[in-house]
Amino acid sequence: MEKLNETLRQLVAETCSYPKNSDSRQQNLARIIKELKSSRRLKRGLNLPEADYEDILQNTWIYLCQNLCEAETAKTPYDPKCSCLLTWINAYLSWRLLDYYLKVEKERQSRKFVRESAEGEILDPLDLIPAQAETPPILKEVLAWLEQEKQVLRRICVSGRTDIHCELLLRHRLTSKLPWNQLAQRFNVPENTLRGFYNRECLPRLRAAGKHLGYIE
Amino acid sequence: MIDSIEASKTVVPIAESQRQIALEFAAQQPTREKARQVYLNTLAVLTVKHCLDLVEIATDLAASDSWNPFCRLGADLADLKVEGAGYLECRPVAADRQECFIPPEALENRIGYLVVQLTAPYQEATILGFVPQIVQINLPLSQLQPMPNLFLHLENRISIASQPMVNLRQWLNNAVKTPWQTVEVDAIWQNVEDVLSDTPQPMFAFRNINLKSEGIQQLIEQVYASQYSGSGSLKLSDKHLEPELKSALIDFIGTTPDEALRWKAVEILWVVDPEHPAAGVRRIMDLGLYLAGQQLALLVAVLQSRSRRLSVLVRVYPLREQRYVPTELQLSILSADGSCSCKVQAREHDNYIQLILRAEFDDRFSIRITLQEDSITEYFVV
Repeated sequence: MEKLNETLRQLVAETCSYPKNSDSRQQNLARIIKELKSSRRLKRGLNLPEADYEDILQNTWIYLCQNLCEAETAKTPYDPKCSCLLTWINAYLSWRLLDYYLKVEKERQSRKFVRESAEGEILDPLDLIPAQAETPPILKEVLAWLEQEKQVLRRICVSGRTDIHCELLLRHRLTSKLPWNQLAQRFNVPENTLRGFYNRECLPRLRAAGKHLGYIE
Repeated sequence: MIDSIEASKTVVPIAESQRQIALEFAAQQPTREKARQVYLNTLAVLTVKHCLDLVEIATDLAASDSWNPFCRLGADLADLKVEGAGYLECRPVAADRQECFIPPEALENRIGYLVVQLTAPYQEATILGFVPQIVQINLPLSQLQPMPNLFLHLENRISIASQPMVNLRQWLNNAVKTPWQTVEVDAIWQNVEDVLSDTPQPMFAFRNINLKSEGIQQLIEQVYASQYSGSGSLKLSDKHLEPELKSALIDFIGTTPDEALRWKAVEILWVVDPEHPAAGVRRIMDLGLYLAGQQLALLVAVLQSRSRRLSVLVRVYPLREQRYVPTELQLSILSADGSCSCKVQAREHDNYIQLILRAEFDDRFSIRITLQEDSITEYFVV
């Protein structure tokens, strides 16, 4: 693998040293393509007919020739400092393959599922959620956890501010919809401090509790 | 074929089953507004997951916060774990927006941000593009990069991740039970103390650090002055610092914003109290095996700063009888995408060459040492 990358690196440097459209450049480009093809490390894709894959490869070689030394169709040319050539080509190939699969899928997709109201207006699926009569069970559960752990969570606080602790912040995030800036104003601390504290101290505990209770779908 | 952002918009069909999952998650929320947020976040995550599935890039929903019911309630998250690479944030955006809001919860621990445009009745989603980093919480959509760049970014990270890596945080935690891969990698890394105790002196330049030398005196005075405004008496003897001066030094290590000075102070601590926690961890690798029989050693020292970031000192020393490192010796630090973030080359009569970097949790980087035709690369994760 290291050897292949080294060969390709030298080939690329040599190729780009020749003037654009020169015979030497063209010959070298052909050699690079040959090396890549025989490397057996090109992204292959699953379940697509050989002919379609060949088309995708063909487009990939055009992309390579146009953007290896100068950016003709891409935003920037290939940069050997950023990645090895194989990774660069496989990234492009991934995108082409994705494009192909999505087209196939789209052809298959039936559009009869669009729900329309009586007036012919397209319905927002969110309107299908029944209005909550009471607290959703999972919120009840997380609040119960918060209550149970509150002694521990109250001891974890913003440095120098024992009044701003994990339990308080979690309760705010779970039940009130005050944005961070208003919350920061209310507590008279910089918003960054509050956000950083929440991300570092509160969220990991919430995550652990959620995992522990086996609610991963 | 025009590879512009316009052309690389990726339209992805959304299956009924995916909308069903999103609806289920949304129904668990206390308010309508929160339900909408969760619905859209879930669809954005599923859309990106579907695309990565198609091109065989493995993801792990169960390890993502967007799939944790408590986290969904307590934060605005649309993360998707990509195996071997890290967490991608998949932000939903409404049609005709010029910017995408990135919630504060999603600013940390992300390897990139994808913007997914969603419109009712959510039969399809459009991936507008990607950025590897966020510089402002309102991401202008004009800054988005096309999809091939996303794959390049992911492939780079995955290919680096498949390299055996040294975990620096484990060095700090002094974890004994490391997975077998890291044990193998770590085996070539020796504790400085072990190397020093069974090698005749002078082996390393720092072994001979002279506390009475002018530069060190100056630094100590500076440390002292920065901690105590009065003019305290400075009494220095070889390998000994007065307790209050030592505590000033330790304070200085923890607080100075100057990385180079911090490491100078740490070096003093290595002499006077190498076991002190503030001295961090340092390990050494003999480069002789890799660089044409050169008598060189690579030292990597790690400190945890107060902001949870790590400060890393990377230094190449001559070993044994050699006094200087050879000219042409190059030391570089490569970032996760393989690009060179900094580089230094030895001049004549250099006792060592070094680089200092700061790294955050989950950062990956590699150190490359090159001498003429030979080179060695070591991979690290924080």
